[in-house]
Amino acid sequence: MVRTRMFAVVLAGFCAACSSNSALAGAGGWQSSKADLYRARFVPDPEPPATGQNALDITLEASDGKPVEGATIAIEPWMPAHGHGSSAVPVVQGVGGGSYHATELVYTMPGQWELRVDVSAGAGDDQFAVPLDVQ
Amino acid sequence: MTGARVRAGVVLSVVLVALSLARPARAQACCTATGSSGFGVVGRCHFAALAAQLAYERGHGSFDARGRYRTLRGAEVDDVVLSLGGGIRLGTPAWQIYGSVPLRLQYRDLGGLAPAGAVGPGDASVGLRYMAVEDLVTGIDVHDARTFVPFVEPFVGVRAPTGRGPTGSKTPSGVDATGDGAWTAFAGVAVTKFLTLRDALVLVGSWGYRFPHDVAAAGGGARRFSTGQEVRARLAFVRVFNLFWSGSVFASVIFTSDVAQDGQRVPYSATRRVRFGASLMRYVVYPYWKLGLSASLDPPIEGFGQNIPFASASVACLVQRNFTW
Repeated sequence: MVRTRMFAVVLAGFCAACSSNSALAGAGGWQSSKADLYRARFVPDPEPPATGQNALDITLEASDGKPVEGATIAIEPWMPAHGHGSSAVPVVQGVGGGSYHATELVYTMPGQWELRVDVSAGAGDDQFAVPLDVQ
Repeated sequence: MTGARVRAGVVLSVVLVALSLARPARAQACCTATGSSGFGVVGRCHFAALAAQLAYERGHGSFDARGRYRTLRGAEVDDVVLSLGGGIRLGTPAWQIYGSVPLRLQYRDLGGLAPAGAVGPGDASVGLRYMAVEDLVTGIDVHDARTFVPFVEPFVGVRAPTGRGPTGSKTPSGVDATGDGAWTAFAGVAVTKFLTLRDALVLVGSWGYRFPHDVAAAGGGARRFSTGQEVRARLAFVRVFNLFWSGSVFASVIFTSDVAQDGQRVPYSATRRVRFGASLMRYVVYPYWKLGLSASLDPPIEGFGQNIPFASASVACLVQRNFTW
């Protein structure tokens, strides 16, 4: 009985480091690009994003609020904590009115991912970093 | 022959059998406990060992960066791992070199993708260990300080990226990623203490350094990725039931530090993995052939993991051939 109790105490010790991190950002709201050339809204499909094949709706505006059409957008899914991305190459197509639809977004495992979005349009080249909590 | 002589003969036979078994039983306990500190590790009274283990592992969930547990959604993750390993004494009972290499058969069925399987080697490891201090294997006698001394085995080793790392994956689902993609050097110590003739505690602790490596960036070029350091601990309680049977329960924990990319620390990237398990071993031909069955689990409980993409349950069977001096 004493031995059992001792073992339970030791096992509990293994879990003593259980702690929580501060909040991690999510996707869905408007955000500015790194150099403030653009603003964009990213809406994952499905929401929340899941392991496997996903899509993404993007609404892109210039800093003055006007829709940006004809932009070239490249997306790289990246898992910062694990140092890898996905071998699938996302495809982005414009649907008009400053909206874009991205497919072939493949997340190979659950966890915190980051979409590195490169935008090239009239105002210049800029980048977004979009955190995603993939389930 | 009188009844008294028959009884005396029986008693004498029992005593002789008991005496003949006492040494092997003690040796069995010793080897079982010291050999349980790692796959392929040679037990104290053996000269060498060869082992093969077949494990089936099924993912049941994941732990996010906050330590929250979630069941897998629309994903099926199954791995079969054949591990081959062994060790040999280096001319003296104190030193041994040992190692293992896994062969992984992986299956992934992720939402929206075609189910896929892949087979490939995992990350191989090799180690060197030294029996610095020996337990008397008598159990603890509070009146004899010598009986408190445990087996103490420091060890060093490396784990090589013989498996395909995640960045080298060629498949959309990443099913062909079978390794970490980085070299790891580790050092640690295994401490085995016999509490009684049949019961032992085995504590193995190690620290590992995972060497930085380059990962390809989508736009060309490379990123320098440092996977940081890892600390492992494993505590097992081993019970030797008799000459042939033994069992153990264990808990293990692996911590890794925050990773860094191009010299920048990535916040919330540290990992923690707590796992519990049990095993049952049987010598089928003492002391040469041993069979084992084990099961282990990442408990689906918040806080028992952090940044673990695939928490799993696994069962494994083991066959081991020991060689004596």
